[in-house]
Amino acid sequence: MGRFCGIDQSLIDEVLDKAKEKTQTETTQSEKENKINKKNEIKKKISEKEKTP
Amino acid sequence: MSIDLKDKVSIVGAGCTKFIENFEMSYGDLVAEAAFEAFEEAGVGPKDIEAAWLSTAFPDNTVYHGKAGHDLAEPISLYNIPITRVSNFCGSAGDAIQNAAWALMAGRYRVVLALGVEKLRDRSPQNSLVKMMVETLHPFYQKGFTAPGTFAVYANRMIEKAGLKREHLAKISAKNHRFGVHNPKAQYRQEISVEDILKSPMVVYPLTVMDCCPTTDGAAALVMVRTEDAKSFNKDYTLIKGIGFTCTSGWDLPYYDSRNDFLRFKSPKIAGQMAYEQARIKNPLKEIDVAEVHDCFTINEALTYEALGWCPSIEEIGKCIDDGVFDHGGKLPINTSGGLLSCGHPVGATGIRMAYNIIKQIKGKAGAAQVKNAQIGLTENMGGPASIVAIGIYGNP
Repeated sequence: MGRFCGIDQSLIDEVLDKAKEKTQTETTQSEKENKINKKNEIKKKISEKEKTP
Repeated sequence: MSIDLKDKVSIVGAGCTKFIENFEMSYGDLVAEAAFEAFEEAGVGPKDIEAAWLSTAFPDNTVYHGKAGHDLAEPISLYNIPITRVSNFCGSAGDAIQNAAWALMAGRYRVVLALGVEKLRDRSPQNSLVKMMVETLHPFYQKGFTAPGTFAVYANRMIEKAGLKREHLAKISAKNHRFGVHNPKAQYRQEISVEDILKSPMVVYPLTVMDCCPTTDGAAALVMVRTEDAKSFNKDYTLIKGIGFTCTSGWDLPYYDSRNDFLRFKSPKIAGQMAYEQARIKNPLKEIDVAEVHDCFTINEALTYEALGWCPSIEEIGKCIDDGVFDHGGKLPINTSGGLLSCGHPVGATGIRMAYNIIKQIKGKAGAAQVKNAQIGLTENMGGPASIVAIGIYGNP
């Protein structure tokens, strides 16, 4: 683990990769939520339009 | 009586390879890339160099060259001149710069080269510092003596006695990784949150994986001349305003010295005073605009704040971190290159890489990490168990 004045880069790689995955998952999730919200808004607008005579 | 160095030596060319695990380039390839980038900026070629200093802590793994000056001569055809190999642990590059500067001051040479290189990723764990300690040193004295373990002692004492928290160390790591995103030559260019840093695996309490720098391949080079000649090489040259270099103890002494409270670094304080005196700096926090310090472990950066007079006491280091004094937009942004934590640490190249990044800052070429109106920059390059330190203070003409 203690190679020279630092540590093996693979240990840091692992932590940074996990952090990146976490950020990507969070982004994908929020993107999904955004899409659903947009769809719902459109549906709402359509139904409101249909209701208006 | 000592010679006054201030503004009398200048850097007319600086070069740096990308710092990374680099299996595609040999030790010699790295030397050539850094040297020729510096030569191009200085408008010189290998034939113009009259003396050179090669900073390398761990010689070329493939052959025995790096133990001497040969590994600088061969890749760039630097023959028939004096080449000195400098090895002073992680402070080797700072030592190479000061040797080159003083040789110019002595009047012996007109154009010199200081180059640092390391190819650590080719070395197997069987060739690591730990293994070397076990095999070549005292039969039990050095067992288990690792670099993170060396500095974790200071971190534990700071937590116990000076109110430092693990969160403060994590904030230093987060800051340097945030800066690293903007450095195209850094090994890591990814932000990471304080929360993720604190959750990362423990190496030696309280230092986690993200409190430690990686080991890296890379090279960096400087072409130096006396300031009276600088304009004829490069009108956009950089002045050396002060240099400090010191070795304050032996390898073991800090750990077996009952007077050591493990709360302060002595060597940056002494080397810093030397450099401040030469540069006529009275109020370092006010007069220095940007700095690169030796953050091989986050605790090292924290203790340097006090040692170099940027933080009034060790008890206030945590507050300075919380207040963002050393962050972007703070009073003195530190490690805007990403530091060793992002750039990585090719031991013999690091001190010259620091100068390369400071030169970018004071020339206004640091991109998104640029510190507004940066005119005076400082480098702190540490080696051994906090015992060897080289300080450089740089400025615009």
